[in-house]
Amino acid sequence: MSIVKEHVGTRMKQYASEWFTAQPLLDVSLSFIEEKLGETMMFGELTAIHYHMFRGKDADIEGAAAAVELFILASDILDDLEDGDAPSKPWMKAPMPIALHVATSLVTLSQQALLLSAADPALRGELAIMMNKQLLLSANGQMLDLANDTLTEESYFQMVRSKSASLLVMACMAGVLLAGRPWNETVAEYAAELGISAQIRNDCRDLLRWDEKSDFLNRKHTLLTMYLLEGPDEQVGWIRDYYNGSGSQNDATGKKELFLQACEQSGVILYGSVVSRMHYNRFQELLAELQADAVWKDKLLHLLAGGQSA
Amino acid sequence: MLKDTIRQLVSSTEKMSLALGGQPQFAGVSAAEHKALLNEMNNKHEKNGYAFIWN
Repeated sequence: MSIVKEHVGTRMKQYASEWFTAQPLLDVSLSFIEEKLGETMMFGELTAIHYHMFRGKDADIEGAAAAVELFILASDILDDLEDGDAPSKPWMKAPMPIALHVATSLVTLSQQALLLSAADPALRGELAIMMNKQLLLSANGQMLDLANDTLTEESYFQMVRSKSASLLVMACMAGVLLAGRPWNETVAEYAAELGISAQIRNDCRDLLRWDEKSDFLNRKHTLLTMYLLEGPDEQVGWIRDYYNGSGSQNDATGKKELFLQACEQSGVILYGSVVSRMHYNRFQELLAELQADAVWKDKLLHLLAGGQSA
Repeated sequence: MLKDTIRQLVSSTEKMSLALGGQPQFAGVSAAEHKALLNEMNNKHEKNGYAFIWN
């Protein structure tokens, strides 16, 4: 295994303990980190795998993985606060000013932790520039997503490349740079393909769910809703009306079976799965072309297939 | 194009059966789309082979 999740969790807590000297900030941060440890933590693994793939030796790779996961945690918190959903999460139960403050503090902590994972000042500079570039890209994409006006496929892919793919690029490239290698365009390209693939898979899941995160009930525009709304009137006319503002969310909530039937009849999930798979296939093609340690390339594929990296 | 092909497939049991039986006729679909379509149709009842990255 490239890294052990528990070790990364320990490092995340250590960074918080070291830099959050105000006890309330530390206490709340630790509770949020604990929640994160119960979830998937693939971004830190991606950093570690790329570090080994490029034969890194001297960096504090567990610290770097913890740094990346601290940022992803902050990003998750901010995303939930912005969307106003996920009521079961501890940051949604905390007072809003507290949750917001902890999230922004975790962003800074993640940057500090990543810089501390490299000893060389020049490498620290490269890491900081790379990380901030990707995070600013993601911030732009998140704003486009919040505006919910991605009404064309082109604007959807532009939004996803910015919002989601940039975070995958950041995680993978941190490992490359920490291994002492320069920015790798092939890694950047396949990480972006992976991010697009993953986002569309999430969109498939969020289209079918029937809770506060339902894309349909929230009238969210995604690649899948675009496909769905292009269907014939007899199949999706009422869905189109709902997206155009007719009826309340309460009215729509009672039409779950009708909605699922429209999804089934339209083939929207198959469409989303195929587009997601196309991007995943492209990722695999690019990975195959990459000149890097084959053992770690296999471990990357294994991780993405749902296993651990070794 | 891909969208039309999928709408045709899901609206026709016969076309879907032919496709699942290994006789796909996907006019106007690129090679990459064709490969991904077969990947997903063959994996329809199996684990998809790649994990969710976001929770």
